[in-house]
Parts: sequence; structure tokens; C-alpha cells
Amino acid sequence: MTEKLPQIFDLIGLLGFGVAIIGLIAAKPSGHQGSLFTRPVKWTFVFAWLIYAFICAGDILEAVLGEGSTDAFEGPVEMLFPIVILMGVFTAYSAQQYSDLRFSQMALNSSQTLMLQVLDQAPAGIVLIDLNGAILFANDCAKEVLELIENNDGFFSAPWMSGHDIKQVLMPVLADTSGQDIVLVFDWPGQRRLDLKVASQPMTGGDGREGGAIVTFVRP
Amino acid sequence: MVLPFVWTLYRRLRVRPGFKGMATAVGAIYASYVFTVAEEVMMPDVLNAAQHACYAVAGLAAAYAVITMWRDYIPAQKSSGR
Repeated sequence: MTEKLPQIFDLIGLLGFGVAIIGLIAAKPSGHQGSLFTRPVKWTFVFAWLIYAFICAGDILEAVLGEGSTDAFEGPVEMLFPIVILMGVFTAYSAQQYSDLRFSQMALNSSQTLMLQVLDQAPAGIVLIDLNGAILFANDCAKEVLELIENNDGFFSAPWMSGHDIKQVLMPVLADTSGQDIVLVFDWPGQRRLDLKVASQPMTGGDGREGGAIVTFVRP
Repeated sequence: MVLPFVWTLYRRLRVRPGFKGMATAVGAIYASYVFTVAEEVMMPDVLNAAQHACYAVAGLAAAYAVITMWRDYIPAQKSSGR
């Protein structure tokens, strides 16, 4: 009985690894947010358990046939196991990092969409201008009042302002630090006139450097 | 080599279905390495049996891990309509 004990253990092991392999092959990677059970993790663990199913089967065959038919392969195959487990754990680690990054990206996109919706609903015109005078952003009200057109490069332009630098036009506002509203009067082609009550404040980037101005305006 | 990654992942892994089973299986296989080396030095029969017992424990633990995982994932997949 004691002599047969290793073979009994091997048989139990083989059955266990068999169930694990079949279960893993049949399982679909969940695709749940934050799941570590991705396709590479699944196949890495299938391979890891196959190694030990092979070793158990080899030992059983050796006991039954009385010869070490798999002995030559057992050593190298056994050495593969720690490497495969390392790969599996590293793959799960990478999946976690990727998942965290994807979560952050989704949260950021969702927050940005919400912020844009809020800005578009504002009754005042809101415009972001960089240091070169390019319009980086305009909400719906600003687009409507200033008749802005979004270019292919993502910037905005006002056809009626062609030949004028918007930075020069808005210079009185950008230079004003009193916090008081300034009334700007735009003379449009065709003798149209637009009066706007404008306020601005410097726009600072994440590094604290000034990166243009946030200009808000309403019709007085 | 594996331990730093396991340590980093531990907080997230420990709540995963099947983690205990997988950890036991991997631990049992590493223990079998120890017995494989030790049987060359002393008590060859006992330690050889212990090495194969580790295979049995690892197999059962791996099967338990996958079954636990299935029990948890199938309702989750149904509820998410997959």
C-alpha cells in the first residue's frame, strides 16, 4: 500500500488538474470591468496545469509500464512551471494596470462630457483663448453670438473677423486686471454692431504657467 | 521572482473567486520542489510520498479554484447578459 501511495496521489492530482484544465478551457474571460481573468491569463494557467497533468500522468505510466518513458522530459517540463506561473501573474498584473488606466480614461471622458454639457447650457458666452490668440474652445452661446466656425484642426475662427487678430480685438479685456466688466463694441461688416459686456481672467495650466485667457461675455 | 507581483496584486487577488485555491495549488507545487530535493538527502520514501501528496493537493486545489470561479462567474455573466 505504501509503495502505491505515490501513484494514488498522482491519480488524484491528475484528476484534479484535468477538472481544472477543462473548467478553464470552458470558462469565458469575464470581460467585467477590473477583471484579472483575461484570455492570456486563462491560457497561461491552462498551460501551467497541463505541465503538472503531464508529470502526474508520466509518473502513473512509469509505475504501470515499469519504465521511465517520460523521465527525459519531466525535468525540463517541470522547470517550465515557475516561468509559466510568473508569466500568468505578470499578465494579471498588466491586466490590472491596463484596467486601471481604462477606468481613469473613462472617468475623465465622462467628466469632460458632463463639463461640456454644463458649459453649453450656460446663458453666457465662454471662450478660451491661448497666448497666440487662437480660440481653443467656445461654448454654444459663444458660437452663436460670435458666429464662430470650428475648423478641421479643432480651433475656432470667426469669418467676420478676417484680417483682425482676435488677441488685438480682445486686448483691452485681456490687459484689464480690475475685475470689472468691460463693454466691447464690435463693428461688423454690413454696418452691423455687436455690444458685449466682457470679463476675462488668465488661464493657468497644470504647471501653474499662464496659458491664455478665459473670456466670458453677455449681451448688455 | 513571482512574489513581488503577487504582493502588488494581493489586495485585489485575495477577494477574487478561486484565489485561495490557486494560491494553495501553486504553494503545494513549490513545496513539492522542496521535497524533491530533500528526498535525495534523507527519508527518500517518506519525502517521495510527500512530494506526490503535494501533486494531489495541488490538483485538488486547482480544481477547487476553477469550480469556485465558475460558481461566481456564471451568475455574474448571466446578470450582465453575456
